[in-house]
Amino acid sequence: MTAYAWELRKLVAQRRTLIGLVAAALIPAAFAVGLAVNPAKPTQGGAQLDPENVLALAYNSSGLILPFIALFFSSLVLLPLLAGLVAGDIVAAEDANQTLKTVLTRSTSRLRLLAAKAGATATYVLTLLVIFGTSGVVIGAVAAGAHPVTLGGVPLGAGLVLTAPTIGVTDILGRLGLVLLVYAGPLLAVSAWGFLLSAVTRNSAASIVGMLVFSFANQIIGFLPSIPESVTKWLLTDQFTAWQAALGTQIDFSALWRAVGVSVLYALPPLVVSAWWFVRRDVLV
Amino acid sequence: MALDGIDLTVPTGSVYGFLGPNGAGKTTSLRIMLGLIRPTSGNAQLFGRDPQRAGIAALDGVAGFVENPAFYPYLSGRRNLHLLADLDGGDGHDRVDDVLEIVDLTGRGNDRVGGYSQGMRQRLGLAGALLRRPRLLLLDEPTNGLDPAGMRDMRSLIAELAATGLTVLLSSHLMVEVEQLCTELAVIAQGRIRFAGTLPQLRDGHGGSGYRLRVTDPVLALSACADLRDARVSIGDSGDLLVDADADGAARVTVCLGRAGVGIYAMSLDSPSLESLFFDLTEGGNSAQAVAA
Repeated sequence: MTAYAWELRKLVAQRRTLIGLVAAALIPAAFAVGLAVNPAKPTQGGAQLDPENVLALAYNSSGLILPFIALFFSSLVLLPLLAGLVAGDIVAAEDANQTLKTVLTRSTSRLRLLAAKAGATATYVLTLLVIFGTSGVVIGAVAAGAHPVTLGGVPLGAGLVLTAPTIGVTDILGRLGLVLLVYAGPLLAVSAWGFLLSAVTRNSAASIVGMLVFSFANQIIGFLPSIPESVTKWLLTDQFTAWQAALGTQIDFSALWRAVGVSVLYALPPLVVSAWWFVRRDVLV
Repeated sequence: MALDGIDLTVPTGSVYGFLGPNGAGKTTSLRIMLGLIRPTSGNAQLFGRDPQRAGIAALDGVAGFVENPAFYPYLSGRRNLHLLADLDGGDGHDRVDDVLEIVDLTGRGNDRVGGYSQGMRQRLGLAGALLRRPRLLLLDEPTNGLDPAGMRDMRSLIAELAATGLTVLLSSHLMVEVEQLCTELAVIAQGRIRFAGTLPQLRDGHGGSGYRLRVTDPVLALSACADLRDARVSIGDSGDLLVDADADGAARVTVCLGRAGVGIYAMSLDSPSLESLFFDLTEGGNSAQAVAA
């Protein structure tokens, strides 16, 4: 725990951590400004709406939908990028600062040091989501009021139908917590790949870019028309959007649990390889 | 191959110089001792423990740094030391102020390391090592990058620490540093130990000591001493009389010169400098004779 606590202190002392957390708080603000400038309008003749429009329309009745809107648009790239600021840097920075030789000659094992870094990365990612969600709720409530959310009768996509006439304030906040918890799964999984790249390449920029490339590769495979659903449901891309199953009339817990399970399957291999690599590597700088 | 059959035994309580040119294998040796890299074969033992087998437990009682000591630039010197103390189990916290005082960084302890000079980082590196209450201190070119005043201060600090009974393995390519600080030394070149022992042993094994005399008539002096069996006398390039003999032999030369009516202006010990011995060992190739410690 001591090494973990110091990893957290080191993160707090670094500017890039602050940048990541502030950016997470500002994402919902950017969407609030966008919706204030260009509010969503209902379509004529009851035509079906895209999921993003359903969410945007709901913003007219309640600001509490804002974090969901922000998550819808930032879940695949923006939030993974913010997670990568730490995940891709936390081991590589030790090489950049040449501090590995300092800490590896003390009485804490390499494995424990790496575990502390992994724990600190996970803590940062979860904090990122808490700030993102809290900021979304506060900004949304201030900008458009904290009222029950109306989401009605329109397909949201991926076989999910939003038929709930209204979702109460307490319920929507509870669902936000659940959504962020589920979304944390794939975000942590992709962060684990950034962590691996950080440990292996010893280069922060390369690790962050590599992590995003990994995320994009998943998306590209998922968008290929010839890939059957039996395959895409095992891709990380599907897990990044699985949180939407929490917005139906009934919450589809099976989809949420699968997202968590698949994310764990994606996260474990890079963590194991990171540990194997880190324990064996020579420290030459 | 960076190292080839290194066999080094550092006596307890000594300041042991590890002398060699850049790229000789000094830092590689220290990295192996500290468990930072693994040798392709063989092992290093610290107090009988091998870092490759015993892991971090092999470093009990051992501290030091390789190349320039590195710290987190966004933390203060004091917080860096507290971090290291925690990684050592927490016992060092009560020593942080003491070690900062020893290395004369008390006034800058709360400043971020990012703003430290090279000399301050070197001293902080020493402070970090002292936190562990080491019995063996491994220092890799601790005066590297320091200005003359910083070098003097660092050497004086090492001498003070050595006076407390600490065993110090001091890696350096500066002969004057080793000559000033070390009681024993090893010379390494091309990954192999060329010599290990004391400085007098080094001098004895490579030409030994002699005497240089400035006399009134070198030619007469040479002929007068020609029959002496325990002293070899020759005339040097500068016209001085060079005497290869021990102290008794040199005394007999002076008596002989007096009897021959040769006056002596000056007489001095003429021992080879460490620098010349160093070059002899490191550039003389495999012909250099190793002397066991």
